[in-house]
Amino acid sequence: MSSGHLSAGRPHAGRPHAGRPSVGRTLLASVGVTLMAFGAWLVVADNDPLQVAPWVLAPVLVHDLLIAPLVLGLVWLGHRVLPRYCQTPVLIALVVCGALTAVAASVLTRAGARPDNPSLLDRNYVAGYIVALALTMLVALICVIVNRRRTLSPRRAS
Amino acid sequence: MSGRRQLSIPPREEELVGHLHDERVAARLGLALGIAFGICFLTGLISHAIQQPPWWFTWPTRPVNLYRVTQGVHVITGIASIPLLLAKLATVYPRLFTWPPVRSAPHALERLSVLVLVGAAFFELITGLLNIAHWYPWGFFFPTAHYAVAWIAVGAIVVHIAVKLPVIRRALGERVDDRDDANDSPDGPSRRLFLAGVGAGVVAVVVATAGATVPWLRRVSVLAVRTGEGPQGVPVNKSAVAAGVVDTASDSGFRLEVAGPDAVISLSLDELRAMPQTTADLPIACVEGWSASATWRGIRVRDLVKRVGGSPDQDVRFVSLQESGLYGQSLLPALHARDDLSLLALEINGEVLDLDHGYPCRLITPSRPGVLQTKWVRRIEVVA
Repeated sequence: MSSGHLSAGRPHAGRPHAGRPSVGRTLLASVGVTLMAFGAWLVVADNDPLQVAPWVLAPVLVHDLLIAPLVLGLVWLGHRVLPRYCQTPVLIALVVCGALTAVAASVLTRAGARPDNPSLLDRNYVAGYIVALALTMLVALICVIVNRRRTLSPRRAS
Repeated sequence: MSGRRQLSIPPREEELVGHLHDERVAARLGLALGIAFGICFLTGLISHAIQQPPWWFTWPTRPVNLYRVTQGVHVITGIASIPLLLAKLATVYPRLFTWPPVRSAPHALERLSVLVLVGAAFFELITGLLNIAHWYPWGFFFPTAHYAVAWIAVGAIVVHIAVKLPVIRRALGERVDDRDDANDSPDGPSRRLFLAGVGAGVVAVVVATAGATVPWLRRVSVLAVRTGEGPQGVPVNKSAVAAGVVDTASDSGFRLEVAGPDAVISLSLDELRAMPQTTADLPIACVEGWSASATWRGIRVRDLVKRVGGSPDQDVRFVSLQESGLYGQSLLPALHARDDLSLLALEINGEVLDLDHGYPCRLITPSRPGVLQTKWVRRIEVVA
């Protein structure tokens, strides 16, 4: 199963897809292009495309040039410097904390709060966010301790 | 420390994050993302159709919680897609630097379609997330832009599936981890556990937000835009101050106008209270995904329609004291107008309506979005 690369996983095959695309795939792609064209028409007909376009492109740039290199760099660093029994819990904690952070950003700023509507954004989001992250890290820490015990037990020692 | 292989700097494509950059991981995340976007798209179409119904579309009145569920699912699947999309992009990130960048015209088109896919997906998730938090830092109108770009996103997903179908088939047909590295991979976290971590991220964000519509999650949904509290136990989307109706709605000389084929009548609040009252337990379910149940009391819409000579087959328009904005009026389809539970409500949870809930009278109907439950009603017209 292993492809003989250095890593046990097989990276994405960078080769072109073999053979001619089937009729089914061609049809499917045409359906997709039609849906996209309809959406593009709606953007132009019902909206100001110059206002919409930056909100389509900017997130891609911010993600690809900033967030992804930063997060993947962290993961790579963790992979290099952390002992093996830490790696999985730390990676999973990073994923969960990252997900919570992405979702929390819109409420942490309270940008949408209005003095005339106290039922909107009516929580202490900073406290909730910190508690959620702390819980995640606590679970990860417990996993690290359990993993370490298992690794160091004589049965598993190499 | 043994068993760690030598890593080069800068890292090569296949070793950036060990073996997580793998088509088996990408295909599984893609499948989950495709399902989430698919459900999100369909529930979004439903919400759009209820608000701007094409001639062939009817939306049922039962179960009364139907819209509450479809729109709750819309927002929950959207939020669940956020960690899925980020994880999917992380697993395929090295492909961004494929060399040569473009091999052929079809390859260029494929890459362009991926750019459109990622951009449209980000657009939908970001605008949706900010909309439920009432944060509008952009210069477009949210509903029409969110609707238009949704078609682009879904079209790009379909194209992406068509292009990748052989890879998807192959990848999903294989075990996600090689047999020997399922738990103790020499290269760090196993792919299966990475996927489990993404699953944990999805559960975390859903639990942290779903309390806005799932009552028993309210206490733990620390990132929900609403706790479910509000005047008379129900949250408010637009206050009387924001709607600019404080003076007109609290005017003691208020009269409701009801116009039908036989007559145009004008009713004072006392006259409305003297009419037969009906009690109904109905949810208020906002397009933003939050919802709350309440006990409403008021006059059946169909009784008012009958009073001015309207028939049960006629649609009914509700006009608000709110003069600004798009939601100053709504059109209630005949199916809902003749329903037992459709009320012009005067009371909520045993009290006279709070000004923010639409005092002196508001529309409340089963299985309809909150924006169409017109508040501060001043005129009702039976539409020919």
